[in-house]
Amino acid sequence: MSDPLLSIEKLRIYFRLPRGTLKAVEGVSLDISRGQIIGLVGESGGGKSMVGLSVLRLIPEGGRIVSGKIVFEGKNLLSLSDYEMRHIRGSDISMILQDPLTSLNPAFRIKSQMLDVLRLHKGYDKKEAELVAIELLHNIGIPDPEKNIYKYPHQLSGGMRQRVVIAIAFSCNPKLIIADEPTTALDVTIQAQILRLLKNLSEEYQTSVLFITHDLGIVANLCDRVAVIYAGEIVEAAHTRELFLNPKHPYTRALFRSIPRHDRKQEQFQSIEGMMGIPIDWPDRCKFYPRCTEKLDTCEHTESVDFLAYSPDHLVRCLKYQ
Amino acid sequence: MADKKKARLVQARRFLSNGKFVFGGIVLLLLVFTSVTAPYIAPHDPNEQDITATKIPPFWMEGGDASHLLGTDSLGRDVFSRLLYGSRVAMFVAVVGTFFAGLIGVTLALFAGFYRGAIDNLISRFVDIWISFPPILLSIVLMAVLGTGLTKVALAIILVDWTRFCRVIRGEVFNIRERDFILAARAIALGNLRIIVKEVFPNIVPLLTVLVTLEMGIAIIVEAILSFVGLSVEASVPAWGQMIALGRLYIHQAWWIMVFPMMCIITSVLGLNLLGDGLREVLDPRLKVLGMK
Repeated sequence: MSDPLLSIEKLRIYFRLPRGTLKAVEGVSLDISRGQIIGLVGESGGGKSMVGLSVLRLIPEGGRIVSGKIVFEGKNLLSLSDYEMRHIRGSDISMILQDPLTSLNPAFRIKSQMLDVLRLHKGYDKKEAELVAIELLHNIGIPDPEKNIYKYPHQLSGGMRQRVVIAIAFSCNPKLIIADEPTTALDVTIQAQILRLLKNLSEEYQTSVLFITHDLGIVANLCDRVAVIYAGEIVEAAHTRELFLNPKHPYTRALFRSIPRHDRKQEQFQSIEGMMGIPIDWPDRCKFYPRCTEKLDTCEHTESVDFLAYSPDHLVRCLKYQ
Repeated sequence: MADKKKARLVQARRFLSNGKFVFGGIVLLLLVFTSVTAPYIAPHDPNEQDITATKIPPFWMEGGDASHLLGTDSLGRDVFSRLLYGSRVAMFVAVVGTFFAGLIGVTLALFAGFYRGAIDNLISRFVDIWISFPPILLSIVLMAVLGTGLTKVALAIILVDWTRFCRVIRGEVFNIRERDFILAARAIALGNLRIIVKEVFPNIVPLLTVLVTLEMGIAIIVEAILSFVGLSVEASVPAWGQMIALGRLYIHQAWWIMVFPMMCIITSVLGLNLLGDGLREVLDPRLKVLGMK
């Protein structure tokens, strides 16, 4: 296999809080090859957004990358200077955030927000940048881009806004896009369009995507590989097809069970018992242990389970498969 | 292009259908007009005394004189002309005082709100201490130290009132810096200074507009108070507060000396406050949704 485009190695992100140390990300490793779409799935507070933000070194104040490496095209992003990092942001790696209403500045027209990136990273003058921006909007499926580029974000619909955000993200032909729940704020029909757009663009430009979501349904259609994250640890990683046909980790299975299905007669929606909680000063064992329905007697006292290869390309972090 | 014109028309109609905005706007325009043109439209020299014509009542009252529209004061000076000249002091203080108070307050607020942490602590604690002096007392002390004069009144107002801007704007910046578009700006590698100026600042403009109009009203009041106690401009410069102080002595014989400057102050301040209110209603998109005009 060729070298991956991005390789996250044993990343740890801790927040020091008055109550103790919050281990938001605890030893996450993840590889993304060129042109690949990787899904990172998990529930709220599981640390999936932190992984995404850390790639651009934009984790919120108070958070600290304690150890690990983020290697992008052979360079460790964590050891770059701020100046070097800024050359990567928006140019080689860009980001799509969840809510297009808040991720566009309400005070400016679409045009000025699009031109910012193009002029900063590509060095176009105003005229060239505007032509490129209109071309981009056209490709991204915005009708009448010459006119719409003069609108303010609130004058566009949610789907249109997210298209604009995607256009900005793709405007400098990045090699990697981090998409943090880009369709969560949209309704389902628009969601499908946006996902198709993202997939087409990724294929067209050979752009890799780190797709962060809580929705397994999206992952099935979009991603090449999937990693499931729980309380800051990746618990299972495999090819999408393999993961869907053959989920191994109890958490992954529980996630699948909690997808509502009409073909199974159920009185109630299935959910995973209990809450994940906040990983502050947790004991050094399987993080899912308190909620696990398949736990073994040995689970409680076995320290930090390492990744086990269930098959060469399917990794699970669970004692059951030892 | 036709679309743009139409949009502008709709916008203009929204502004003009707001009564508060229209009233406040007229008051402001009137103030600007009188303060600029006072030397040309005033019928008399404001300091011209006429011992033979003291305490002449306004023209519509018995004994009134058409050449002194609003009567004369105890030294025979024309009240109307003094009011016109007084508006110059009020406007100078309102514009200059507010501008620089806003400049200082907003700049510090942007840094405090954006960088938070130590910078915010430093600035905010300083504001806290500054604010804990009663404002009127502080301005009186400042004037006593600085001495009288128009620019010094403005300076006193700047030194007292920049905290108001700093406090309010800082809170708003806190709010804005957490929004996703700031993160998005970082993700396309905009620098901090650029984010503050280009991404944060435009979003505080609506709030700032309102604060500015309120502050202009406050500046006029503070100036009136200071000139009332004789700590504002030199005695040779007519100011509304001075006129009230003088008129107070003759309130039983010649009410007009005191009442007209009071009406000027009240109308100006009310007008500016309503302007601020009206602007908030017109500019705030949320109120638009609620069906307010």
